[in-house]
Amino acid sequence: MSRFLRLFAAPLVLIALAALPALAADDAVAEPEAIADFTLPNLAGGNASLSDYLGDKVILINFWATWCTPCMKEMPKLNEMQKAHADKLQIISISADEARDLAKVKGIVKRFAYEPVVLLDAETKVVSQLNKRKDMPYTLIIGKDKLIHHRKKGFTDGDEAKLEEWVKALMDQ
Amino acid sequence: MQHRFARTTFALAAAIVATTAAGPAGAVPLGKEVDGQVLPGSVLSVSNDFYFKFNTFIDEEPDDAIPAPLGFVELVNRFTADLQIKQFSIGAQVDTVGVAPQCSDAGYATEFADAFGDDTECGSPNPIFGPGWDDQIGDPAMVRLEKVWGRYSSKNIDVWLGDYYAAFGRGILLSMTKKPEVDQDNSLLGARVDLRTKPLDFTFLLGTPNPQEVSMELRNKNIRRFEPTLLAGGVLKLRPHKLVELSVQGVGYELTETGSLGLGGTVAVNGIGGAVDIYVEGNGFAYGTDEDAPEDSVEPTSGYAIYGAVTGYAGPLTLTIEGKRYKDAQVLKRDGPVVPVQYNSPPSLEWEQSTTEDSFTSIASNDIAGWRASAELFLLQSFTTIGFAFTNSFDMEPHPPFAVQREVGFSPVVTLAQPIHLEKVDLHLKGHVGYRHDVPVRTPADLVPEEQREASAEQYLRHNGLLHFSVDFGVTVGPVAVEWVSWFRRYHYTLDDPGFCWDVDGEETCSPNDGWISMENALSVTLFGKYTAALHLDFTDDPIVQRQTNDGSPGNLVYDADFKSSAYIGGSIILKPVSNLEVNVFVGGQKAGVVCTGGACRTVPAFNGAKARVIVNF
Repeated sequence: MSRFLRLFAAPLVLIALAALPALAADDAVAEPEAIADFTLPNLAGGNASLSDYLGDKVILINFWATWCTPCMKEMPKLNEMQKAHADKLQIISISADEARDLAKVKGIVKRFAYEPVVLLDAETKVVSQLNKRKDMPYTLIIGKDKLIHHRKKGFTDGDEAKLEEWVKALMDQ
Repeated sequence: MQHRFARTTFALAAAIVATTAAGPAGAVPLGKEVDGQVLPGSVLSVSNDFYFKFNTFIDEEPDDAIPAPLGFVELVNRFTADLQIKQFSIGAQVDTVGVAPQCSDAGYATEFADAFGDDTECGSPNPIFGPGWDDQIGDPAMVRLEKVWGRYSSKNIDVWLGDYYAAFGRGILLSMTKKPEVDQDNSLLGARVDLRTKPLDFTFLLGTPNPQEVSMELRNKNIRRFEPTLLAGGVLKLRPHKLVELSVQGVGYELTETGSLGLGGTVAVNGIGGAVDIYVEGNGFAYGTDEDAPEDSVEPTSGYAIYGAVTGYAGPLTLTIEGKRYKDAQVLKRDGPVVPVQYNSPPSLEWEQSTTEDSFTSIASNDIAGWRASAELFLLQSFTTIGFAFTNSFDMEPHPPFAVQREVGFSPVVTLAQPIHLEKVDLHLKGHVGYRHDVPVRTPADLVPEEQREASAEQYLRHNGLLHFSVDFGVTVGPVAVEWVSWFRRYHYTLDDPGFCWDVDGEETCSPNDGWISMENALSVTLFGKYTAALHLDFTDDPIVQRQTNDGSPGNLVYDADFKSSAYIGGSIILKPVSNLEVNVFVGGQKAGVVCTGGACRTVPAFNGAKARVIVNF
């Protein structure tokens, strides 16, 4: 056991020192960040750009995939949120499924009678910009100032309350 | 040895962290939209992923004459930076890998000699560089500028210079994408332009495949230097009607070598009667010939691929029917740094790539037709989702040595997802059960080359069967979530004669006529959604998994000729105190095999020992 402790001690100390600066406030960006425009195929047909929605409403961008179990838990919650705040909130749901699996995407959207805009990123164009590690689900919340105010990785039961809180705070600004 | 390990580990870790250390805390906006700022409206994003792995080898037969390989430490670091200035961004990814100890360490050299004899030349426990490198900086470490990119994005035009990703249609012609969930990143290095107007989109691209060389999960051993080659392609999409989208697409592969071409098109009609979607794609391939290939080469010179899908929506019921016909459409591959690089990834119609796409049937077949029907019923009041899928495929490519047989495969699967919300308790249950059976069909004699008939065990035909099921059950009470996940596969095959042998080029090969079992189990407890402790128990007696060598394809760390069925026990802790920090520690054994995440698979290396991973994002 002592051998393992000695082997781990040095790298873990270095890791801790390097990681300390990363302990920012819980899921809030230290300062709001600008976001570049992007355009992706719209599941409903044609293309859709982020700039089509920026500025008028609070934007919640959610990355998901058909194979992601927590995503399937989160989507009904996001659907409820979209319905409850349709005039002030636009949820943009980006599917990161591969091109070969696109037949499954619309079935899941239909399953939930999903109202958010669903965009398709089979080429990982936007994933490689905004969600490099392809964490699923992954959420960005953008205010009416067109800046990213919150990032959140993953979803467990109860997280919808936190998302609702952040969204409402930005809607009230 | 312990002090040497500690010193070497410390030195390597310090060097790696020093060269790729994380930046300052929090987001780094470099300026706001104010006149006079140097970089108004710009953001610098930085992430660092540091992985420490201590590999050990368990000597299962200490009394035999074969010594266990010596343990070693592998340190991998991935540093990514992206500077975004309004609609422009530039960035890079630098990967570093180091191994300790080495023969230059006196203690290791002595230990090596003790284990393998004074007459055996000292060897590195894990040589990083494989064939093709001229600019090695030294075997103990490798530093690679893996990716570099410049990007301009706007509503109507996107331009990439450097590394980018691309997929046309359903991936039959081209699919070069990033799959970090399975540690694959097959970008193209060159240039890409997308133009978009209301009635049409146009894409043109040019570049060379740029597969990732350093792996986080896979063992970084004998990494080959990748030989670049030129690829060019484009796609034109038209929208003549609000329900209709048409496209024509083409790709030229390996243009600086043999030169091959793929051309095709797609038709999509969505929302017919508000309830039906149709998609059809057809592609043809013409393959260039290698000048050095023998005259009687049987490599195909052409191929084609057709895929179609019809989906109907009727309230809570969704029904999808898909069909495919592929003939010599998955031919183009290239040796990659670790695993082969394939330019395309067509729909397979199988359940899960690791479960039902095995080497005898669909995934490796260059002559296959199949269809799949899948239905899903969603019961809104109870949020229950019941699914059913049935796949039938006819693999027409002969597979020696078991006679000269083709296979007809049948694969029914039933799925269930059931969330249950009580007052203070949330439950979820998700599971599936399925079975795949491949029925052999003897190939007509006139369709099999003579040398293949001579090499095959012609008197036998073989049935393959695979039973698979999974269970995912979780309970959440307040801040505590407990989850149990279990996967099971039972593979078996039947032959006319148990334990048969056959002759290939004068060498006798025998089959034990036995199947195998593979199980993965994990029990985890998570607090506040941020802190997880898990116990893992895996088992496999799959001989392919047990015997895989580690050259190019990671496998079990087995060095004995005889394999044994193996149970693997491990424990892990995952800490995610905030979104931009994750610490992941694993101790114990992990079996090798294929792990799939929704159609994206990777081969997971076997591992014994301890590993720690820290991921930081800014």
